Amino acid sequence: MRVGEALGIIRQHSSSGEGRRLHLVCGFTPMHLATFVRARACQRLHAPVELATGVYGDVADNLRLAAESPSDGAFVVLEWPDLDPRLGIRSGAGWTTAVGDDVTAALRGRLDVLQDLVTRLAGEMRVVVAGPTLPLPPMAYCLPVEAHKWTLNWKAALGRFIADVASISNVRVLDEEELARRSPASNRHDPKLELFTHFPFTTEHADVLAEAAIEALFPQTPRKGLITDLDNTLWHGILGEVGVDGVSWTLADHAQAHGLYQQLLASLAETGVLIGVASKNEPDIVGRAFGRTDLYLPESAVYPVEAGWGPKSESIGRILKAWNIAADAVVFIDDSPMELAEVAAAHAGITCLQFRGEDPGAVLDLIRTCRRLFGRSELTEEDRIRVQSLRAAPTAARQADASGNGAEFVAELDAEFTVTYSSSADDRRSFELLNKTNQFNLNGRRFTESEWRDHFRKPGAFRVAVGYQDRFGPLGRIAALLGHRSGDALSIDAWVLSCRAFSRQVEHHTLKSVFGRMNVPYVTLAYNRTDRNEPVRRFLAEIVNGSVGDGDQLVSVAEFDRRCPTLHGRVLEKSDE
Amino acid sequence: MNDLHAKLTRSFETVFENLDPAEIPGATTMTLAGWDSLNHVNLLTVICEDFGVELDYEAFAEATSYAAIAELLQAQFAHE
Repeated sequence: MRVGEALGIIRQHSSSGEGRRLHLVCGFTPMHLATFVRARACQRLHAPVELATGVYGDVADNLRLAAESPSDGAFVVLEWPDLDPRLGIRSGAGWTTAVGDDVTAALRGRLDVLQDLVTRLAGEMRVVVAGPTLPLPPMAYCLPVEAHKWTLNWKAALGRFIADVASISNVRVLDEEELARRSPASNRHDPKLELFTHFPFTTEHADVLAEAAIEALFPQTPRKGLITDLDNTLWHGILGEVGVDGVSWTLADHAQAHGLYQQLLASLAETGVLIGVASKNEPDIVGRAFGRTDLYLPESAVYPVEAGWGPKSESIGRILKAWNIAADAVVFIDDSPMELAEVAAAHAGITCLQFRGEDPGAVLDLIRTCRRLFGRSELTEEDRIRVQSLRAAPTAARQADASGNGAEFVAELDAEFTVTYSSSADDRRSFELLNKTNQFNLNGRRFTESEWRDHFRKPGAFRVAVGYQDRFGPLGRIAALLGHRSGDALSIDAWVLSCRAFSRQVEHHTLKSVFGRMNVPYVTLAYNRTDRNEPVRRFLAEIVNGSVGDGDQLVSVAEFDRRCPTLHGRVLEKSDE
Repeated sequence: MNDLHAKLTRSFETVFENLDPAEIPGATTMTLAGWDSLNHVNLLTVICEDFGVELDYEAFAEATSYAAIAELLQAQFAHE
């Protein structure tokens, strides 16, 4: 992106609705980096973005200022002169051995201060940190090909600092290898601009940094499922021709590219990505192939397997139905361009990628693309149990149909509800549930990081997370509720329930628990009708006296108790304080 | 020459929001609100992008009006 284009993007968004606030923390003059960060953020958020930048030359003070700001996120760029001004080309402190040794002695203390400040900042908002992206000045007396003990020590101290900072909750560190792929080291530094204006980056490097920072601050929703072909994709060879023992994926069989791909799929499955198979094969032979114990992708990680001779698009339609997700949340990988085209034509929004096993470089690129599409910063318990609960869902649905009586079915579920109360903002799962759930969503409200944290600053603010399991297995935390209490007045400001847990009385148990725990006669639900929250309206119609209009709904404990159906299952109440 | 002025006008419009086109030929750092040191560097960068040239920072720092920048560009093209 060019500076002129970035300015145009900022201008286009200047009057397009509610704005977002970001903070750029650096020790140099922010100049084009600020322009690109704003433009990239406008593009990503489709909203105007205000960017605060602090004062020139003092990154520590800028970290303090950012922590006190009402921003939705911060991007911290640390270059070597921010760690010690003597490590910059604007310094005149000298490059003597005494200076080098003194820098070594002082560096750890400076990094400790910065780490404390980043920790404090991360307590307020999501933070993205970029480590030094520019080279050290040629200070050391040795040959340029030799690594001097100074630079080795400085880089080691920096490496420890970066690793420590990356482990702070709410902090993401930009990966230098990925940055190097996008912005080669030789095209990052503009020494003339640095000396003239104290802005050290080429415009190209500034844009790459800005783009990466916004990607990490506001990541795209990861894709949920990957559907793979088998022959010449998951393994080398055609199962129907070479048989179960003839397909290969190892280095010894010159088929390691397929082995790498299997390792990717196993890794994705472990992080909760759904892995399905769509293959033109006899189901029986596919079943036997998955019985091979030397596959890197265990059969238990794959569900469902669609093997047959019909069009792939039909197999994929059945897999999407089993997963209950839309095509735009799914990636399909096949070695055949024709199959990819047929599937793309039938399922709008699906991402189709070709597997080219004969080209290991292309396979590594494909793996990197998948990491980008499926990447997530943190794993939750829900990610780990997703496949398990999906496998159980058809059995549960069949038994529900067979019983013909919803109440009887629920009574026999042996359900356990864990209702956890807290007044702290530290629950990523609830934050994500509130921001992605559409159907059972009290009012459709979405939260930015700062709005989320602001909620917990209100007097009497609380949140409730509900976990669920029954005889078909655990579903994890499937409901989140935000509320606040002022005297006897209790308000529920936001409330969502995952569609995976519908028809399990979760909403009834949750409200009953809230009434009991808070000991109030009434609760006000901040209901707003949206295009998709009909399940909420149906629930309200069940428990309130009268028809459900748009806006706040007052529910009394007496009315709720009178109208609430017989509830089944055990409820465990916990406090997270 | 007309082409240079048309292009330079567009560069000014890119950097300075809500600028009256009639105001541009007579614009100086004294008359144009928002023509601060940051926007001076923005203007330099956008002109370099639009014209596909590299301008000398020191010389550009001295060019504090539309007319001076136009003159700088003319000299650059004459030199090439």
